[in-house]
Amino acid sequence: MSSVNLVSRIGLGLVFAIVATGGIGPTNAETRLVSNSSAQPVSTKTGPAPTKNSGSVRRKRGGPESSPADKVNATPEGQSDLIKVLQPGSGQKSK
Amino acid sequence: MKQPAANFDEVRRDISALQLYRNARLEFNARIVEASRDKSPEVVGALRSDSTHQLAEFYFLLSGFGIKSVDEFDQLIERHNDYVASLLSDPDKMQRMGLSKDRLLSAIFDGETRPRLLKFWADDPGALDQSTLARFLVAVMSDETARKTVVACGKAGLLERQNSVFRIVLVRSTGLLERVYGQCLRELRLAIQAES
Repeated sequence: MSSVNLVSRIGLGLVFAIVATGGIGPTNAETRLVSNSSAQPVSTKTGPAPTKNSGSVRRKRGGPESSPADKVNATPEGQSDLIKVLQPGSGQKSK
Repeated sequence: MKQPAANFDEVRRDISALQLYRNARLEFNARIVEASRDKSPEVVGALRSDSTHQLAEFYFLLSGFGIKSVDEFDQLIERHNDYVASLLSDPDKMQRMGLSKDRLLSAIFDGETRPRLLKFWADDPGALDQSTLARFLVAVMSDETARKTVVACGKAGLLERQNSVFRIVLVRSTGLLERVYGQCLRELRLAIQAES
């Protein structure tokens, strides 16, 4: 057996050995996909990812943020409350 | 089931009031569309929506309650913040109204925002930036709906939208929205009174 042939066979053998032990390959990729499935989409922007407030009441910067889930329909309750809030001297509280 | 004559008469008046109420809303839509300088289907469709009617009601109330001075506007901000805080302590009501905690937190005017709003109002009473308008309307429409409605009303010439410092868009009513709303409401009230 020539030396070149021998090196090729050893190289191939090493590749198969790595795949068989799961060092690289579909199994690990699947694992990464599963573990990343609940992660936030990767942002291309620099800077820290936004996090939700927790604990104390604190307003987010930049005003109300819209999201696909942010669907607010006017209810009679909300419409009635708005009148009371706008009315001077009403001191509107949630009832 | 046959109803007594007196009751039948009352029900007839109730139905008549309902028709007047529906017609008042149709009349509002018709007058607003008529006044619009943009008759494209997209804008006209937005003008006929519930959100435009709600926005008109907001400006009608702002005007009707006489909120003009900086002090009066500041008190409104205070009432709004108190209201949002009370909602945050009422999870059942939040759920009924479809409001999330994050959304309500974002609707509070904090110590950083408030002075800027008062300055805008002092310089130009009635002028609100778009995010402020969305905050006031937090209980009745999403901020995206508010934005789209303001844009449509701007195209129609019912609202003036003006770029201000720091890329803020200031919005002020031309007066037509609240005038038409008020007219239709008064006509409805008088018509119901005449019926009874």
